[in-house]
Amino acid sequence: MVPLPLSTAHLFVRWLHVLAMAVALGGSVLAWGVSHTTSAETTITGAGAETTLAVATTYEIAFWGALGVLVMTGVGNLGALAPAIPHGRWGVAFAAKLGLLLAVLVGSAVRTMAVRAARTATTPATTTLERGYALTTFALVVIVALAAVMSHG
Amino acid sequence: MAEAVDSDADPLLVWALASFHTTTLLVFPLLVLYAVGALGSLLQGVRTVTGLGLYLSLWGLTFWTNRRWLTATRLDGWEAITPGATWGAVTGIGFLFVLVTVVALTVGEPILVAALALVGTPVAALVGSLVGAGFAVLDLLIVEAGRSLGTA
Repeated sequence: MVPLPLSTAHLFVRWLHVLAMAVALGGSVLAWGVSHTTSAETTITGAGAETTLAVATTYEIAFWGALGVLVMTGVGNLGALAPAIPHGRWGVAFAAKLGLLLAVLVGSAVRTMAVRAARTATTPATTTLERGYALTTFALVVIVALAAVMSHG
Repeated sequence: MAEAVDSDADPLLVWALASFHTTTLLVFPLLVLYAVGALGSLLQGVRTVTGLGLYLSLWGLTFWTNRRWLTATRLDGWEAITPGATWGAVTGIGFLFVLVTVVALTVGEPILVAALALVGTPVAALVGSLVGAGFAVLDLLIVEAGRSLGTA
């Protein structure tokens, strides 16, 4: 494990980092669950799409705020390690985490635009949104796992 | 600059793209700097509070310029690239002034600050316009992908 000098500012930054990931990951699980449970209702009555899109829109707003805070506080956490930022196994996990994060950022931008398009569509693609939230959840879980590798080896 | 085509841009679009631009603008160079071994020395010179302040400034500035850009374009054609480059240049110059202010407050050398502002402005405008144009192209592709995925 890489020791960090835990000043109050660094503790606050780490707390914000964890909170932001909780919002991003918890929200994606919720959006996935809602879109999954309402998809059957959508097929039968068409009423489920409204619920899915309401939850999805709220999540997209929260997601981008959370990702902004995650990146900001992530750099803050790195600053606590500077100048001796580790390499080796830690470095591999770090590079993989940033690479996956870039993919999540681009993929999530597409997902948000899909939600935006679905809101005005006569037949919104709720199944696609459900898959998008499943993929987001999976990617965020992998990022959390990589963070655990970086913290605990 | 393109004529305004919308009285107000979609808040979700502005918020998502501004946050996407800000985060990508930081994560990609971070990965490159780590790969070349320059990340540690760069971060060592920045205090936590200063770093957070700079990031929030960039985020806020990007939000404002994205809102202006998305008010001037519908993001449905390549004509969105020119205003994207223009507002990218504004973002670059705006962020340079934030940096110059931080340097002025921390170093307090008027000649250095003036030289930084003078030399940095055209560089920031050029880099900002290139980044703005690049993001405009990427955003057009993303919005188009979203349109086809969001409609059944």
